[in-house]
Amino acid sequence: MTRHIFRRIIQSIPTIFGVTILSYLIMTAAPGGPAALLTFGNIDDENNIQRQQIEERYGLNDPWIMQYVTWVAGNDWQVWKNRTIINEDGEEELVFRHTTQGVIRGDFGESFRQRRPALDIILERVPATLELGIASLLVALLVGIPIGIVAAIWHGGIFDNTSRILAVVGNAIPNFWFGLMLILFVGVFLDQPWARGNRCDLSANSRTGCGSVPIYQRMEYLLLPTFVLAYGGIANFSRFMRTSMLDTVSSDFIRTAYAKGLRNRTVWWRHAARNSLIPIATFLGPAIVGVIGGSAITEAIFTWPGLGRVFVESISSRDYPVVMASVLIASLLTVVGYIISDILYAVFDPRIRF
Amino acid sequence: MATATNIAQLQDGEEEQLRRLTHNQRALRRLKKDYLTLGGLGILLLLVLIVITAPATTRILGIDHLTENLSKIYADPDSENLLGTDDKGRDHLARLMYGGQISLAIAVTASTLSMTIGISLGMLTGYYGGIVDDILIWLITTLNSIPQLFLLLIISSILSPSPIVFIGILGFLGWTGIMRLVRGETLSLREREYIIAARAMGASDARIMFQHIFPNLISIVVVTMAIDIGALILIESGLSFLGFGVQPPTPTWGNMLSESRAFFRKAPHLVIAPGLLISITVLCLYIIGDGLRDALDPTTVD
Amino acid sequence: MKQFSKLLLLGMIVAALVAIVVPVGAQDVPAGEGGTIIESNIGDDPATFNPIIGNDTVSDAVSSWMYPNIIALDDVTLVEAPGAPGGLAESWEYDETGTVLTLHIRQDMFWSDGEQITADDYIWAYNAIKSGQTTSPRTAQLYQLDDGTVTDGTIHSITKIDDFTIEVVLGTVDRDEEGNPITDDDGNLVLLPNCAALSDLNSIAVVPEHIYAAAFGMDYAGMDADPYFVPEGENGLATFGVFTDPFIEFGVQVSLLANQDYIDAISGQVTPGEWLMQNVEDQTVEYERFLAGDFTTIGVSADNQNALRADGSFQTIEYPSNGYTYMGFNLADPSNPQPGRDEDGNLVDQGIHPIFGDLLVRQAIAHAIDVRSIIGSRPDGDNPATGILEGNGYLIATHNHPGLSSTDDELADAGVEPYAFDLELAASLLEEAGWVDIDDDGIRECQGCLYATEVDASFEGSEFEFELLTNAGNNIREATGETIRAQLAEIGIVVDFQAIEFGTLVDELVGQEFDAIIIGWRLGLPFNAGAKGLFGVGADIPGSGFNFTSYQNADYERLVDEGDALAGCDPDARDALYVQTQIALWEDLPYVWLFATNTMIAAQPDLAGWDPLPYNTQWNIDAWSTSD
Repeated sequence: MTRHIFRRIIQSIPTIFGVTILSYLIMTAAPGGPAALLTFGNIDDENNIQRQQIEERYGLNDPWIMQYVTWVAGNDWQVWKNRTIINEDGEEELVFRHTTQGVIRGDFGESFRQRRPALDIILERVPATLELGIASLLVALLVGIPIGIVAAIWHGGIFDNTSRILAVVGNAIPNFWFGLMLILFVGVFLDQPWARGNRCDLSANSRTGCGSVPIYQRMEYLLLPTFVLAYGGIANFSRFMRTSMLDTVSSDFIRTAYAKGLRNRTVWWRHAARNSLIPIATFLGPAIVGVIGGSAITEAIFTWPGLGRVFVESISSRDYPVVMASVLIASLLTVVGYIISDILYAVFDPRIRF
Repeated sequence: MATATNIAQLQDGEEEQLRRLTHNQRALRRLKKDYLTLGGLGILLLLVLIVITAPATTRILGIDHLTENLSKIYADPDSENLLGTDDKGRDHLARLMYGGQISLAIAVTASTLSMTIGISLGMLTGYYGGIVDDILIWLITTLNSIPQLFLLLIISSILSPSPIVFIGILGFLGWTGIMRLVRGETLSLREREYIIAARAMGASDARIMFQHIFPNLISIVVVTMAIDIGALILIESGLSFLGFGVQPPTPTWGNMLSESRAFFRKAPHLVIAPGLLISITVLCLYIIGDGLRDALDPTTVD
Repeated sequence: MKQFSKLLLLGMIVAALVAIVVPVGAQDVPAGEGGTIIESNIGDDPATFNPIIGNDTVSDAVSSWMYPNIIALDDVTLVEAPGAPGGLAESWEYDETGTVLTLHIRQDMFWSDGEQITADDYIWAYNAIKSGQTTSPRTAQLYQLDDGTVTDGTIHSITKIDDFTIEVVLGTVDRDEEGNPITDDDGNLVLLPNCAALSDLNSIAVVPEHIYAAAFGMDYAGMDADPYFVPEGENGLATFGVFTDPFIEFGVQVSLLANQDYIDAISGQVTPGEWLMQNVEDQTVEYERFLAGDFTTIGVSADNQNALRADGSFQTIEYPSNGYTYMGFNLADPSNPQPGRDEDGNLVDQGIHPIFGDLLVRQAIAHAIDVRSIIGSRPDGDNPATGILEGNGYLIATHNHPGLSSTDDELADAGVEPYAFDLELAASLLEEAGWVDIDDDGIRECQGCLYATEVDASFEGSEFEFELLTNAGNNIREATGETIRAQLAEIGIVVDFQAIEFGTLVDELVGQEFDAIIIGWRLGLPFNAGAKGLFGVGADIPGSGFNFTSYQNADYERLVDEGDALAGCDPDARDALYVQTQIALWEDLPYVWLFATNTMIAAQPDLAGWDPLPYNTQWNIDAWSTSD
């Protein structure tokens, strides 16, 4: 088992490497470089001093491959970039050499806009994303699976058909629209302050931050975003579970269980349902990816301070280091999601031994 | 000896064809009884018809999706503008029809593009394997490790997409799923006796792929494509919401819905119509995909 | 960005003197118990709390609560005023050359940790900016940096005379005909006085030197590495302003607490206990949440103003926006963008744009756009609102400040009218310019147009078609662009209108490869009538610079220079010169000035003490109180 996990981790290294090259290449191809955007509107700066300073500081005039190398391996060894001036005391001084260590040494560079380490910006957003992601996965599983089981038990019945239609409807509504309508209806028309977005009562926690409020004290704030993010998942899990149940029921060991004279309910819930859960585990990996990807929209609607929102903001402002860091972290979370789903598969299915 | 194999193979192939035919017939029979799927198909065809005939319909109704009328903005539905007017006084019905053309065209074309890429690469790698297969699998794992929306956002921000560019983006990013399916299916088909026999008979690889493997993939492709088109319509609207979709003045259902949120108080009809159309279209596509899958599933018990 | 920051700085310039004039409803609320003022923020978090490196409006909104200005503006007239609250300078005088300014600093100002505010606090920030080591946007106001880089601003040196006296050398460098700076016998630059330079002084912040020097020493670049630095020493926080002690939850909100040590508070105390700026997703949600009571005040967009006015339950103030929306033309050859001046300072012939190079064409377009219908009308009885702005906008003729009418009539009314909507006139102008619909397809073709006769004969017969860009996400600009496209189609012009992402737009714009653009400027305060940053040859640099239309007019430049350097800086005499610059711009039409929107600031009904002034709604924020 441990060996398998280890192998999976080793295997994901080239994947992550590919992620960095791919996203860096695409991002730096963007027109409208960060410096032009950061200095837009500074109409007194006719000679572009500020822009030159920013470009020099972040090496934005280097060819992209050089920028990529710098991003990966840092620039402290690129001695040819040093610039010396004579300072007030007549001494030579090294200036404006903004050093980075590179991703391989844990330095994701500095945000162009916020001037803070990009990794800090991302990491402080990860808890909010995880909170919402885990909550919606749990809801999707806890609601979706029972619906699937019941639908399978009464397959062809009213419940089955209703759930089938609802499942498809759930996937067919644009979720940004669904979320906005919920905010407007529950938050504005029904006048519920917790339903207007945000993670907690902002005014009451303005000096400590929402993260410091225990999650059980702000459950109502999680309600709508979780529901919006989980809605599609509920639909998918319920359909998947139904199919899986029906497959299991037609297998031999269930027939044996009936033959043993076990009661219907026992057979369905104890034997069939448990075995039907196995394929669900394979579905979990993609579901995690979906939750992380979907966070960009859900977080934007609910002003949720997570990874997806910071990503969208940093794309608009061409804040490459933050974009790259979020892509990398999101990809790591995704890869971890796939590995967890693998492990769960093994845990659920006694036939699998690594 | 060779002749014997040939005959055996022929019979085998015929049998396979027979099996497939009856399989398809069975699927069709099943589909005829599935009123939900048939209903979905009917509604979808109706929508497509309405959208395609937009130029004629708008001329008959005397409306136009471009003409502005700044003295009649946010108008409620009336006899002149059957679905009211938008924030610039343009006829909403006409815009919905033209927006639908673009939304559907984007989704269908992008899906066709990604299906084509996915099927070709899937069949090639599944059939030949080797280093290309390894590289492609690495590429797919890499692409799949970046949340798709993240990739789409980065690329859309760079290209400021026109509909054509947008089709390219969606098409070139969406092929990994179908490629995996096709590759897996090809891998297993490759080992079937009748394929091995065809190869022994000296059939070219291309012939085997197109005549023997491809027909077996059609059902997977049709099902996946129906669902894919629906998903693409949703993705387009999501990107519009984040400000990275097809930009106005080109109307799409997605950007019409996204824009309309600013008017939901003044003109709820502007919010409801594109939202409903997106949902109904995607719903139909999903129901069709679902129904086809059930109908084509050989393990389904009648 | 300076223009923006100046505007925002107004918010903190809180008057202490006129307590008599102002009805202060919050007087009976004890200090700090006036509740929480909540504002909304559509956009990113503040990038820094440090006013030296601050580069965006949101950052300035926060830091302006915590730091004073060297010279404060008068709350009503919005021009520099000696002794205005929140400002250090209580008086100043120029020497006989008009280029040496002596500032006298108030002696009653203290940082909240008890340390007195002195000249050193200003000098430290000046030195930091002059070092060139920070990414500060303010270097442009200085003439030269420590490393020798000439940034060509107006400030040449700032020297401390004593703790409460500062000497500033400022002015425009006198240049000979070849554009080289003239020096006197001692090798010093010869300066001409610059009447507009005073406002440049405010670009340099006043920070508590005793804390900043201890924290950063000479390592000014260290500030970039610590953007959320808040000055705090042994005796606590050292700020000067209504609010202090910022706390940020990234992606969520910024909180500042009342500063009861603030002596310039208008009501003698700071009544609200806290100020919050909360992130919000978009204008729709912002507006709805304001209606639901979540925000204390917001700016109401033009398309929601009629509804709010009709509602009547909120407090509001309205005034013409201090910005305008325009359609800008690329006057030079877009296939070969060049700077306005070459390295020797000579004017460069940049060629002409195939379409917009001809003034007649620009005039025709100005006459063909029906701005009145874009502005529209407010609802009246049974008649619903019309137009894109639904009546909440104003026609403008040229680059001036619509709000000036309250303070500076002469400049506000430059004697020119907006180009009247007249399709027949537009059509005849186009025909005169050689654009005729020869093949009767509804689109005009070049038939002896300027570009074909002067530059490239093969252009003859080309259709009148151009690309019009704006930034995506701004509903009013998108709607305006589509309307212009439709209106120009009426006279046979094909407009390929596109809304594109802002980052890409900036690239197209400063790259000077575009045809035409719809965008807007927000004008800073005090209003800089010269606007050489937008229309001067020096600002015409592909890849940067904001004279992206490549406008060149020697008379205009001369008039601005004269106005800026007028001996004695008499306001009326200067206005007379600037009025002529406005007329020159109106005649030459590098932009078609479209409209200024109506600004509406709304406040919750329960907000007491809200007494907004135009362009300066927060001047008495220390007296506000809310029941929440």
